[in-house]
Amino acid sequence: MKSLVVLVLLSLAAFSQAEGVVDNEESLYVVEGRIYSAEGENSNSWQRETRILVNGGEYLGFLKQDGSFIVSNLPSGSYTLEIANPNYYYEPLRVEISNKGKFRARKLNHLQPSVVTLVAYPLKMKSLGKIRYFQQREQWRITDFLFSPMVLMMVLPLLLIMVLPKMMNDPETKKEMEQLNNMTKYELPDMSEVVASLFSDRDEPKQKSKASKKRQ
Amino acid sequence: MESTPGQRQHQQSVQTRLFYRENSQLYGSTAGAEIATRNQHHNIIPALKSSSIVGSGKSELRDESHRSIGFAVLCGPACGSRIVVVGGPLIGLIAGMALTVASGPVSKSSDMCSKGYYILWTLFFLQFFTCVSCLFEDQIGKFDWRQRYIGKIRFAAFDAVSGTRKILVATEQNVLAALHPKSGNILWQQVLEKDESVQHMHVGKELVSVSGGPRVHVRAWDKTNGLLAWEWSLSQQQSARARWAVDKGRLYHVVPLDGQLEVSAFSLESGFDLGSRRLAAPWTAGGAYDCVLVGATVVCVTQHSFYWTSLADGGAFAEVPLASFDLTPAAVPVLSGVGELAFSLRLPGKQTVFLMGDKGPRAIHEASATASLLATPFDSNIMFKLENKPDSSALQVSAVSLNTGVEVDEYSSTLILGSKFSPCTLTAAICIKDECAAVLSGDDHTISFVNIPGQITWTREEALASIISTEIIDLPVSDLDAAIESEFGSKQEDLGVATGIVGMVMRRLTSQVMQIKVLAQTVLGLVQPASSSGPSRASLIRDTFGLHKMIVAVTSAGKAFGIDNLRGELIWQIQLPRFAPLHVGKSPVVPLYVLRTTSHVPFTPLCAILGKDRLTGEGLAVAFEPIKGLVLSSDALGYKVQQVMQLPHPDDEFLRGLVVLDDQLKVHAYPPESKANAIKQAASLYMFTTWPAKGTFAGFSFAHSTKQDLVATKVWELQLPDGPDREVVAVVGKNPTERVNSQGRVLADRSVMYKYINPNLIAIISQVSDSSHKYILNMYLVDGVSGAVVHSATHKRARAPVNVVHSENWLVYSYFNEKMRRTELASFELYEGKSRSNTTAFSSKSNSVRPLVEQQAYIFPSTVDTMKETITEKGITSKHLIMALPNGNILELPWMFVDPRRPTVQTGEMRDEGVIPYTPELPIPPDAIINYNQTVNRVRGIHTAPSGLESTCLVLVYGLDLFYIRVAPSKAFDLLKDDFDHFLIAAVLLGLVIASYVTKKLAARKARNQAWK
Repeated sequence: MKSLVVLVLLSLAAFSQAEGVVDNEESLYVVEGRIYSAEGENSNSWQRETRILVNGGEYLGFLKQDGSFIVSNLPSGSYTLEIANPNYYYEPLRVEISNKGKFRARKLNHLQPSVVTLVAYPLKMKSLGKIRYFQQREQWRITDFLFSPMVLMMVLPLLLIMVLPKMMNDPETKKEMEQLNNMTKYELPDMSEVVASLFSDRDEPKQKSKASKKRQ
Repeated sequence: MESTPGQRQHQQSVQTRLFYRENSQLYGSTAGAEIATRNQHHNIIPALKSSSIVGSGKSELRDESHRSIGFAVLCGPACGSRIVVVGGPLIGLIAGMALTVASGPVSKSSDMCSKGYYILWTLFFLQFFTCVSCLFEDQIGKFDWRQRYIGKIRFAAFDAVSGTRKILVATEQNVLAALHPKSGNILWQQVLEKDESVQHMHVGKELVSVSGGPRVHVRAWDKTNGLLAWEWSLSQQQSARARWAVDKGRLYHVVPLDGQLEVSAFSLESGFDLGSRRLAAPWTAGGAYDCVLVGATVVCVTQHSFYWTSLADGGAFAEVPLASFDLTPAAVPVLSGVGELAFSLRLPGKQTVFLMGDKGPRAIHEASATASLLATPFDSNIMFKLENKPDSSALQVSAVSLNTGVEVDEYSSTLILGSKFSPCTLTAAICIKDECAAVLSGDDHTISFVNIPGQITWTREEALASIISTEIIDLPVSDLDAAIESEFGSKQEDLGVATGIVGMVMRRLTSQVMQIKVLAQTVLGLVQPASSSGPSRASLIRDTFGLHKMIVAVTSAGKAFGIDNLRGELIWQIQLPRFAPLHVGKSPVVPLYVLRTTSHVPFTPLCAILGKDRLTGEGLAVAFEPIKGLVLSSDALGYKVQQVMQLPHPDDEFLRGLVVLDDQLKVHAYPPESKANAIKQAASLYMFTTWPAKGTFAGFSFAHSTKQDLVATKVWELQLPDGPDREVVAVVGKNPTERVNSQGRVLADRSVMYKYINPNLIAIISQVSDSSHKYILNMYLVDGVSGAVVHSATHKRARAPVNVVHSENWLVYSYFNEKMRRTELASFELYEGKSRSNTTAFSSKSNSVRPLVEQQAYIFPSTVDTMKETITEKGITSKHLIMALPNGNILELPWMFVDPRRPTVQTGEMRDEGVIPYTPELPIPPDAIINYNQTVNRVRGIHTAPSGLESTCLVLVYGLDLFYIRVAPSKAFDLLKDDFDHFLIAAVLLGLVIASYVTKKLAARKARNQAWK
């Protein structure tokens, strides 16, 4: 992090000729940086809507046309720097100004304040994305309708009522059913198998073999 | 401590009802000046404990608190054990149990699994969180509205040069804005630093603002889009008489020093210091002078002479005696600038306008002392004069030629304001060709735009940028319902009709005839309900769900407003010309009470506000009708208000009066008629008050009141230890209208932890600084009736800003942790234990239970401007915290997230209870931000009110901007969802009907066919 540029701008001596105008023990510093507009942001007002809040609004910074900003009149210390934009999210940072006027910027970590992840200074910040304030509303789809429990409840019994008797008319199935009926006399077969056999005529041989296995 | 044994006995022998109303706002924060070392701090506690003896009586003492009745009826302890969690997230609980069942074996297995489970659990709750407080995109503006304000004008100017015309203003709230001259809408605004003020505004190529102090920001803004062009800053001496001027690319700063005037010059764009000069001005020595900058000339006046010099070349002061203008003032005259070239000299009775030329001031015109004068810029050479005529509620605008000093008749006009009249001043004026316009700033913070000659074209009510207290009031029932109400509800002697069965029948019949008439009218479309005051008034009747209400807002500008909560339109406004807010420390407060609600037809609803007289400083009470906005009485109280509370029980006319304690500790009733009612309740009345500067808290009993007079007796007193920088930062009680539905919390083993619900509990937070300049925060939970300190806590290296929410059996507050340099939320929860001390009602005196306290702190990843809890009608819905963040967001955070019972180690038991595992840092999910991208600037307060629906809470956020929304903390469980699929339900029903008919037909056919076989 050799790019820590010292930017001590305001030596107050110049302004404090008069007695007691300012106690010039404390030097004031200026934090600078630049914010890049988010991709796809083409309104002209994003600079105006964006504000730099230092320590939760104790000090403010405003953006120029090119996105650069300064926050002035900061005594040395540690500050949180937050970018307030109603539409885009930016990562908050911690900026530290040493007594000698050295600047250090790092990621803000509330959980472990001692962990230092340095960020380049002067600050250059990019949006991490658009803030999604809203929930997506579910779209109405025909499949949703068909698979909703109410419709299933209505359609399935209908199918059973309408289709099953038709299948009964088929002589082969009738035979099969009779066979099954005979089976149930001494052994209750697995219901799923029964239903499967009903619906899949083509798999008949397999079913039969299974059935025979069962019989054994 | 203060009470004698005799008093004690007295208290015990009387069967008491207790109530106290603690006005938290009244004593919200103040500046103090002392320290408590920790030893002293410990000393205080035993002393306080002894004070609790006063309150602890025998078991026969049965105090009833207002609220405890409320919930005791609603839900006894037995059902409480079942219902508790309903108050919490029902869905969460069910789903949580499902999850627990599903994962039974998992938790037995390896650590890894349980970790994954932990994450799953957290994710589950996070998702729950987002679901609760989210909005859909199509709901924008459906339940919410925002209004932007800028505050009272300090400087204004027309911008006629750049493309679109606009009005540039700088306000006392430190806001810069551009207004549209046709509509008054805000074209752009920049909200500058809080708690600072704009000192100078100059409109040239750019808008230059000088703000702040002692560290001054000089910023230039693009006039068309409000973007920053350049900025620099400097430090300067603060002086009320310092003046700024911009001339020819230079910024001048003139500061009077003793016997000298210091003029500093800076290059305007770069801030380069061009040096400063001191001009000898021996006449400033006594301070009896006034100065004004006219263009780049500084003009000063003493009782005898004018002095002037140019800032640019800086020669010595030239002097002209006032006598040469035939002026012999008795005192030092007041100077004020009139545009770029002229200034006015104000004497008692008259003012004289001078034009500043090379040879000194030249008198050109005389006007009345109260007139507001302003010369237009550029070459039009016209000066406008505005005179306030309170007698006829009008403003008289006239124009004077600067060349001749003669009035120009074509520009004179009279603006009649009627009831909205308030004295105005001219802040900006312009003439282009023959058309002139001016911007007026009213004493009531209005901004008005006037076409000259002509009328006011628009007015902005900027008083709404300085709301101090608000109340959300039910609308009255419709006339028809009112008739029914009055039929049953009113006292018979009022109606003057026969009583008994015959009378009742007669009344029944007449009201039914009326109902039929109204019905017929409605059906025939003849309806125009009997309301004379226009359609907007006619619609001001209560709706089925109680969502339509009236917001009453009292501002520091001496104006009160009634706002429709659905759309935010102003329904009424009342001027309170002599009314000024009370102050606690630096913060203004206006206690606002609803004396009679709107549900007692035929009695008029009544609100009262307390403040002080602007001139005398004595108490002033204003009673008004909150629906139509009529001032009913405005009474000078003749004493200074120390504390005020509302009586717990209404009188025969449903009026709940106020009991006011003055600074001599005498007690008064307001309105005076309610004194009898107050005396009736006096035996059970207690009051709590604070002297924040002294760090003293005291409780009063009214039990010693005689039959004629209310008497307050001090029952207990609590003194915070002295020390440097001691400051009482917050005193917060509970909302007296709050109801708690669940009496306890069901633990995993199906036993109940009963909540310690003490309606008289007050949280006091004080800040002291240690010898090593480290701050310490002390929190005390004090019973307002007995004075017992129920709990106390200390945070080392923590300091303000502190925001407190105190509700039910919990307390949450935010503070700044200096060591870790972050904001934290401390959360406390109080429980009585596994048994109740008194199952029917809470008593501060008989209850000697020391509550069990759960406490925990959480990191909050932002600072908090202010916060408030949601409130619902029955208190069944879970509580959320509404927090205003400095970046303009309003966050809705479920209380569940700051629950002090969140366990660090997740055990099965806790899981059964539905508690989320502890995470140190709280999230700020974007879909919990209820104002989405509508930034709300500088929030000062949040008001929450229940609606008629249990699920829904109305939220009004006020500060510089106004924002209203309704929230449903546990989802809108009692209302059909916004996207409820009516179509699907209808289609399915229709389908079923058709299907049944078709199948019936088919079945019949089949039966017939079979019969033929």
